[in-house]
Amino acid sequence: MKRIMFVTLTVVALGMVYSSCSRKVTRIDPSEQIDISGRWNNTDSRLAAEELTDQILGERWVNDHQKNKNGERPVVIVGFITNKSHEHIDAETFMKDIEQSFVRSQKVRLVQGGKKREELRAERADQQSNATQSSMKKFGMEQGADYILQGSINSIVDSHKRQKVVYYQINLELTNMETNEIVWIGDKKIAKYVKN
Amino acid sequence: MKKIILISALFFSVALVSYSQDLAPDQNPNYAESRAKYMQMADSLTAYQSTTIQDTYKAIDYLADKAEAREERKAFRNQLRMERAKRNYSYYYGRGYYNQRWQSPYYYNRYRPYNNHYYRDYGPVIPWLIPGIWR
Repeated sequence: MKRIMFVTLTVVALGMVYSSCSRKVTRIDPSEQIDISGRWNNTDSRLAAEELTDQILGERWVNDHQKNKNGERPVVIVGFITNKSHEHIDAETFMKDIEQSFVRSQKVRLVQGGKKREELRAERADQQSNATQSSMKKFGMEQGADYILQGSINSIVDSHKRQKVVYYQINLELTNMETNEIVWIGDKKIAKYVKN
Repeated sequence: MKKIILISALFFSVALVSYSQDLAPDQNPNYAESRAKYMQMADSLTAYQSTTIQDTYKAIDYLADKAEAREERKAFRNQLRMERAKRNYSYYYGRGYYNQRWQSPYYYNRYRPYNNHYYRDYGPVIPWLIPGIWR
């Protein structure tokens, strides 16, 4: 009897240890809202992208530009996004969604900037000595941007004991490259109440 | 004399025309100063376009601060323990008067076994170091 009890307890204990150590991973829909820690997450990034895309493509700066430039589509370059919040947030997750909407909607033209542009120029330089004359791309033919898109992420944290309210504000600004005139400002505000 | 004045007037008028053609309507004539300044910095200033500059701050958060303080205390205690172990200090009392080595029950028994305290017993280490013993 004692032996049976010992074996049963051992099996149960081993089972508990195994189940507590085993990791379970399941694929979920990226649009599903799951909040775990209360920090910035994929849902916030998606909400910011959706709201800002609607704002930037729906406002009058595009029509104004086309009216002044004989129907030409505006050319935009993406500048810096400064994260001035209290968390590490990579703006690229929602900025790429906005860029994608530019290309897909065909309302706005987009040019490459930063490190990727450097890479393009390096590749073009390489072509000057390695590619055939007919396929070699020329320098000095880049499309100049009409507007630069810049932004910032700010946050306010109000906490006491186990309660916390976190407020995020994402601002994007579109500025005329020649005149420095800001032609569009968009924002997305997210507030979260976290109770631990 | 007239010829010289005429030539110089012609030269200046050509220079003025070419200069005014370079300027857009209402453009600041001193634009070249700014252009020269930014032409030198353009590469470094645009290198990180399309990226996020992390300029974060530390928020006042009760629970996070509490957890951080707990971690700091834990790290400090661990460090203290390590230092004491390294210096052979007593964990609780340090090496004060009442915690000297001779108060240890093993202190008088350290020259093993049954020696008369005139010669130090090095245990089994020294014989192994004598070359002749290997033969």
